[in-house]
Amino acid sequence: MTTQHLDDKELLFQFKNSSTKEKGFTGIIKKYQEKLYWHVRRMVVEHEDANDVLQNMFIKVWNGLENFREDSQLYTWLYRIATNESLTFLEQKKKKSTVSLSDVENGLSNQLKADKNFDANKLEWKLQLAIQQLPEKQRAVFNLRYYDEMPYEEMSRVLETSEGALKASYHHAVKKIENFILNS
Amino acid sequence: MEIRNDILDELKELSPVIAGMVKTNVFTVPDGYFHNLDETILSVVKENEFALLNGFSKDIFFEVPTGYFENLPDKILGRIKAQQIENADDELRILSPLLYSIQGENVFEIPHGYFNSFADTVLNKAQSKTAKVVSLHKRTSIFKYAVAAAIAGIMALGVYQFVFKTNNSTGQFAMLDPLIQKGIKMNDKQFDTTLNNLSEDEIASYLEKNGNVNDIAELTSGIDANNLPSQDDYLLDDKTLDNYLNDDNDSKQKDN
Repeated sequence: MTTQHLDDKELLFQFKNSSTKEKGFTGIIKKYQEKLYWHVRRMVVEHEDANDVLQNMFIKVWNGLENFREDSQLYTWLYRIATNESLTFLEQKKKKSTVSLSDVENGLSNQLKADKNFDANKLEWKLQLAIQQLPEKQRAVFNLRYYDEMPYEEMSRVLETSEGALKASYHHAVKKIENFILNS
Repeated sequence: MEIRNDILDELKELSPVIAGMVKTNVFTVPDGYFHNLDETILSVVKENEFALLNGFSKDIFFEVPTGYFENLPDKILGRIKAQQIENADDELRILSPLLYSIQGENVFEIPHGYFNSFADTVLNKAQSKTAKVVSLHKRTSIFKYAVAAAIAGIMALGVYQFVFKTNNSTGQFAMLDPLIQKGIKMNDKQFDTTLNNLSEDEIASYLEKNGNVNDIAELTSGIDANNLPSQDDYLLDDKTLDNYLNDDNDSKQKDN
């Protein structure tokens, strides 16, 4: 059995035991790194930025996991930290930039267009461009639902927002994306 | 990528276009990125911990004043005794004979007779006709003061228009204030002119007799929100009114 298939409870047990702390931590990274990476990457676009955010996120996990209350799912907690780190990163990027908010969002679109594989005629690239037009939190809602297939109940714990608000946000996001794709 | 049926159904309902798209990952990652990620992160975590625990020499390098330890027992005893004393004067004498010796000495100067006339000066400014009247239509950073002044300034008009023009109960209010009696007979332009010439005393007097919460609520609902400052403006700091008054006084002096 590979570490990636270890139960969360077992990983937490390993982590909280000083002799196996690193093993448990490594196990958690291996189990969730890809899911969390792609969640972050879809938010921040650039690999280097996603890498920074992801590493910062896991450092916070290292520091905070000891106090993790196991009344919620580990991966919900991890997703919450990853989302908050991504949103914080984007907020800081906005503040550092001397241009307006809409230009920052256009900046992410420009980063997409700068990708060597970018093809404006392909639907999947249009979809990514459309996603980047959404406000950050709405972007997170759409990505979690569309890509990660997250139930609203879990998303509510990740984003600390009511299920009703999330549903409305997702529905709105889908319409906006559709309009963008059809009109582009 | 497989999609759960319920989420797919939801998406089909919202957007058949998007639901019909094949999910394709457009992003690329460096070769072996995930293979080494856990080691990379672990090494960063260890570096952070090492720096925290081992960055400082264990040698004692703090300095203490000369005679610190010799005088420490007396100082502590003094503080204990001071805590037992209720009189501030005695307390200071025990805590610090030096400070006790210089208490009462004021190093700051004030103009002669400053406090004798201070109250009158303030009252005059408050009652003066050159005092600031905040226009409803001016974009300022003192929203709450603007509303309060505007309410004071147009209470009569609001009550007149709200009460008289929306219902016919003229008799009751007209009896309360001669201003309203006069106002009933005016058109809006005449009323505006008269209102502008009202003194603060007349307005204050009217408010004392007739101002109530419902009128204020009705008036504030009529204020054009587009002309109001943004929430960020009026939440800036507590000194916004002072700053506004000072800025406007400066510009008025320049004009003069």
